[in-house]
Amino acid sequence: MQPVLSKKYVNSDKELQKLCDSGLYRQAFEEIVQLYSKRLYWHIRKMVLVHDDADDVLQNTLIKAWTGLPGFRWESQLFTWLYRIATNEVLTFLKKNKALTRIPLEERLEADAPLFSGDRIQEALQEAIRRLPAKQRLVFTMRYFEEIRYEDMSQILGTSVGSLKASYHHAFTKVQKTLRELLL
Amino acid sequence: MSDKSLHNPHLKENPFTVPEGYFEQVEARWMRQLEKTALEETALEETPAAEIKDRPILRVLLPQLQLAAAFAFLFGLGYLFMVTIYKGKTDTLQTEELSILSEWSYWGLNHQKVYDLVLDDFPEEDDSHFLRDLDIEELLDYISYPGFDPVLLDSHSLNDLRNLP
Repeated sequence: MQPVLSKKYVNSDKELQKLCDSGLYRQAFEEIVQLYSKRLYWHIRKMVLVHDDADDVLQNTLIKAWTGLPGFRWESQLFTWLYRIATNEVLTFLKKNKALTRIPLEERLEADAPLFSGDRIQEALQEAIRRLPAKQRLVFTMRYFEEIRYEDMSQILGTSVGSLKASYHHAFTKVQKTLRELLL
Repeated sequence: MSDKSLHNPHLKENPFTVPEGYFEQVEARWMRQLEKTALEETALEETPAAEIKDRPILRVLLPQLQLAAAFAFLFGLGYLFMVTIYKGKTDTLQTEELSILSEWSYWGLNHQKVYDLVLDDFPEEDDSHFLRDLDIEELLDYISYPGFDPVLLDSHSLNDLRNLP
């Protein structure tokens, strides 16, 4: 299983910290955007599904990261901090746009059609995930697709490893059941 | 392994795509934004120190100044009201001690001087006793004494006053 942070990220964390310690926040943030924007985008996109929404949430995430960078203490990994910001932004977005969750996935993806290349089974999987409560959806997505370690997820979501494992197990069972029903 | 199983590796593949060049755009957008921020910071650094210094102070003081001006205006209105209303009534109140003393104050009369002046005529008297029995009519007589000018009282010594005709 791929760890959340490769060596590249760990080393870059040290370099970024040096830049920030010297007050060179702009240069540090340029690096951050280059290193992390793609991963953050996919984390967001898998939760909000539609590209335009993911783009908005990513922008908000980066803005918050930029304004919060001088206050970041480097006690935790930069990536978990960025993930935490992105996750909070996603949850805020989902809360604000509750009506969206009631629109069937098929309808939502229609508007985003050119940007969804999945087949029937993949679409069914997305629908099954969409039916999960927001927090369970987060845990499932982070573990199933992004293969983030429970320890890192615990830091990002501020939940114990035990409850994350339980939550993933419940989500996995539900998604599996729904997927089978949808593909009958 | 069944296709419908979550253990199917195909299901872990990312079915979403992004518009062409999207991530490059995101980076470029941010680089532009950060460049702009840097330019703004530079412009701020080049702004004369005094100008930067003055702006926040004015911004901080403005509400207090406005409040002070409002109080001054209200106080002025109140004062004007008091002067207009009570000025006409002073004649009727002149027989009362306080009003007389107020009137003296109005003319700039020094109470201490008047007090000393009266006591000088009663050197053996006890001060407190004198004050208790202070006769306003008598005081008024002093004030209306020919040649007695309350304004000049301040600038003359008691001896000068005694030598008045």
